[in-house]
Amino acid sequence: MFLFGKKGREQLFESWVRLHRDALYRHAMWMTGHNDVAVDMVQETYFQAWQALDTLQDSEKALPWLITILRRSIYREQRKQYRHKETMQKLRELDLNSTVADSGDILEIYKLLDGVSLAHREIFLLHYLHGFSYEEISEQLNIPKGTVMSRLSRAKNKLQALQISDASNVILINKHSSGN
Amino acid sequence: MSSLLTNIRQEIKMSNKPNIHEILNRPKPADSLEVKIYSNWQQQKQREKYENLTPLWFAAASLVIVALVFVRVDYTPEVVYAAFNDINSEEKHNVRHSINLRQLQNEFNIQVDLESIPIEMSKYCSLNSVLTAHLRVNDKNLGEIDFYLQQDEFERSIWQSKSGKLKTKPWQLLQSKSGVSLLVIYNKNTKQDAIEKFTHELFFS
Repeated sequence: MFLFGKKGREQLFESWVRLHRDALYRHAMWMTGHNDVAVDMVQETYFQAWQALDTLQDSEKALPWLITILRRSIYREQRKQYRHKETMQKLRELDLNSTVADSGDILEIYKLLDGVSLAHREIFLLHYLHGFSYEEISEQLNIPKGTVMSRLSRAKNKLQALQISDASNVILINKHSSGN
Repeated sequence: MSSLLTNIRQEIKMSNKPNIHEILNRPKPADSLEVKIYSNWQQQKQREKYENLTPLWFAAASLVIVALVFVRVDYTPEVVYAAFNDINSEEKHNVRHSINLRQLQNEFNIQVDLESIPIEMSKYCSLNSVLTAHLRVNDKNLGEIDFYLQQDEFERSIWQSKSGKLKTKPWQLLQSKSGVSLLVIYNKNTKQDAIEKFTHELFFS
């Protein structure tokens, strides 16, 4: 990365803000459940990214790198005994374009994520929000691929219960519906 | 048949459901987030620019200070140059004694009998347009010493030195309690302490 000149670094950084800002915000939002905290985290991530820009070996892997920085910020925040303060009503406000019915989905997902550990939540988001493969998640989090798969499997089961399809658009079996 | 219809109905119902990726992507940051990121970044770049410049300014300031100290230590007052020029000119004129030593003794309130000192040469000269008495002592231990005496303080700027070396010869500016100013020029091999002691015994006792 140090091969880039000053202008090259700035252009690269600007492209990262443009391309990954929203994804990072969503990641932070789902991880913390708090809009203000998510906004702070994303700002903090870009602040640290600019400082450490020269340490990135492969600019193609900018998003995983940014997520790693974000993750550290989130875990730091958790260590400060951060408590979720967002109310259900506030969560509804987040989805500005959705109908009341759609907001229900968000609340369900939030409840699902809120019920699992940060580590599980992170794997879930890396796969379903960012679309990383098992191998990529395993590499990013430095955990065995089998662990990634088993944790995602549990998440899938919960999704089934919520009648929500997974990212590959395969309709999950709805146990509740089939029971009706 | 009814089971099949139920399944089809369920699938139609579920196909209207959004997928998880779509739901997770719903939260959207306010436009202010981008503004905040860019604002932070600009501040960060400004600060980096300042931080990068600070060591340079510090180095430059240090160099200036060192240079000033160097000038302060090494800067020789004009009167010293004038005295060295005077010594050079004497070599051509071969001056011996043109001052009455008793008169000089009274004039500068010198307690020691100058005639008992091995004075090789005495004369009046002008250093920077100020009348100055010049004595050259040739002591067997201390070697050749030139004394320039003035009634008033030597003209010297505050940053200029009181002692130093010129053309390998050490020099020193001294002042007695009675206000007599003295420029001493001596050999490089002679110790400064010995010169100061001799000078004090001679002129300031």
